[in-house]
Amino acid sequence: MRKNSVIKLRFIFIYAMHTSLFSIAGFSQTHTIKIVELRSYTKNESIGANLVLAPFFSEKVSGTIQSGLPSVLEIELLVRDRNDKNIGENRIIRRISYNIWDEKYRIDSPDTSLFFTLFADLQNTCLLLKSTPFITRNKLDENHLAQIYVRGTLRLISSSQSRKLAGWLDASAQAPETISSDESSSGFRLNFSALVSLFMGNSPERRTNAPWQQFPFPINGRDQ
Amino acid sequence: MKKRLISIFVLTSCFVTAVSFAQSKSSNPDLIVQAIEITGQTKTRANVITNYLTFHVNGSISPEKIEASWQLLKQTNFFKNVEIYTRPGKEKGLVIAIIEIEDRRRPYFEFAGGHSDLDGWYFVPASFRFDNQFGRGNLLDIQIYLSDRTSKFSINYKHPYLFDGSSYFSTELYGGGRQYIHYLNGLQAQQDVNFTGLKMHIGGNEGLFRFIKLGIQVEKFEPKNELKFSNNDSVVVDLQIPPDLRPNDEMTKASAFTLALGFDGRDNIYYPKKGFWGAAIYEKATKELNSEFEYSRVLLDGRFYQKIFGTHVLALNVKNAYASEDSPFFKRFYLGGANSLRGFSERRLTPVGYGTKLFLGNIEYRFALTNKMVAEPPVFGVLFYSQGGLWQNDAKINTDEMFKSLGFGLRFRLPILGLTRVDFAFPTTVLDDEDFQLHISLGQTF
Repeated sequence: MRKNSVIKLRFIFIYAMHTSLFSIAGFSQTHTIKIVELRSYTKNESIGANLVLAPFFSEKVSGTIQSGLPSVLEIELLVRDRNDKNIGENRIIRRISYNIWDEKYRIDSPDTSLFFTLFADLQNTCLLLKSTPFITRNKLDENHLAQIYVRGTLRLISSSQSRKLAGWLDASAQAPETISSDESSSGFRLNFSALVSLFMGNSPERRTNAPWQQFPFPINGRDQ
Repeated sequence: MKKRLISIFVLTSCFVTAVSFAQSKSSNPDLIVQAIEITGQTKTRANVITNYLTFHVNGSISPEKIEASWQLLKQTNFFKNVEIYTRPGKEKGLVIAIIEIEDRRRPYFEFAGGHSDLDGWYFVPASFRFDNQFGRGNLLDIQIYLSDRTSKFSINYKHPYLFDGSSYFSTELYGGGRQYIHYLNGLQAQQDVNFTGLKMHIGGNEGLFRFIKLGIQVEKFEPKNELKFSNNDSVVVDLQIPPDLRPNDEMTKASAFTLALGFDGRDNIYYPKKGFWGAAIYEKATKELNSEFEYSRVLLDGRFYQKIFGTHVLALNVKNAYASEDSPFFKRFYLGGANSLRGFSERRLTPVGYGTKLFLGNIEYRFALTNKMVAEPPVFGVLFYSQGGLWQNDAKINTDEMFKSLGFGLRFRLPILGLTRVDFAFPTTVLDDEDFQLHISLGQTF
């Protein structure tokens, strides 16, 4: 009996850990952002990236921002050497909001806040982004081009700055206690079909998980 | 010098007060929902969707409310995709919320698992769900339930929002077998009990009715006339079995109604720091309901939480239960185990024929082991003391006969599984020369 319990417990753990590792999926209230252009720049002995984003202010996105609810733009950057080893990473986060009472648009980054009166100015600023320098020159091999992987998402209506786990995974676990029975029980539920379609099919979760885009990352970027 | 210091202090205080006042004055009014538009649905009725929203027309809306609504809609699994966005309303401060959904058309599989008092670790390896039939938001599933001690097949139905959302109705049709653990002279034995049954419950979602749950259940039990001992594979049958465990007939039918009252005043379900949770359950089987035997059971369960400082919380649980003398052993109470009295193995403290008078008290001192997410710490520790006793009808409750234990534990949050619990418990009442028990389970103890 005890052996059975141990085997079952082990099975639960293996199953759950596999599932959790494979299901770091996109938050469904996200929109994929396409990066049109990426150029490196150097500052002292460090290198950063300037990005040009494809326009993403659809009617849905514009309407949401203009009604006073904030969105969060997030760009992930990953530099890999010729052996495909990660040698540097960075994340650009911008919170885009509109104060309907002051009629001012606002972009917040971790260290600055920019204000605009025209929506067009906000759009233009959002489409040209600059990362902080995030990799030192000596980490890059001068004879070989490193590759930078980049992906962008817009989290439509977000109270949090960053959310890594998908909602359905986050909340899959325990149900609140009921009063129907005198014995206590605690468990978890997992939608197996959603999990399968996340990897095999064309599920919305899969679609909203932005694909990585790849650019060459030379170290001879312009000094800025 | 002293005067200068005083004047600096007064000026600084005035400045701080003025700034905080200006900030409070500059906080803007809430955004108000002018209308809710639902698009994309081909099956689901609009009222099913609005039942899961945390904002309503003419009420306030915020990113937090939208995220919570999105989570609730997603968790139903009625939809392949849910998106909530907004556009400006006809006046400044008004918002039109748009719920864009894609209906799930086909049934789906669900996997489930967990830990329960009665069954130990359990799995639902195959649950086939037919939720949201005809777009009415009802839940229907067929599942196979397997555990250390139970195998069960069941069909479950629930309508979570009946009568314009004021009530819910659920029913379960099931059949299977369960092993009941008995201790005879310190030796563990199992008795198989086959069962079939139908349970129906109705309860409220709002008003005073939300604290009440009414139920009716018709069950048939077939206790086997043999006990299997796990340590030496021996089997005891017929007259050698203690009278309390002997079946009267081949099949016993019990029909009962239940009345459950519940109140949840905790400030947080996951890591309560303040508040009270209470439940009172009354179950009565009578011949008027076509029951072959009559019994009654009452259970009172109270939980209190009080923050000491920071994330340090004192939690107290008191559980009292009573079953009438004529109740069969499978309707009585047991003691010992991870969710019962820690420090002792599962049901180790249960008298032969199970008990009819139960007292269980647990006190826990909880503290976060990380500074992150202070409201719901992902890792926290527990120091506990437990005390309990279980008696049969003819026995007198004697506090000196109670069993006691103390120990410490660790709680951590895992993806999928949720809150996982590991307890190291040390009995202060020595039994079987066992001085330590490791309990692994899910969720809070209480």
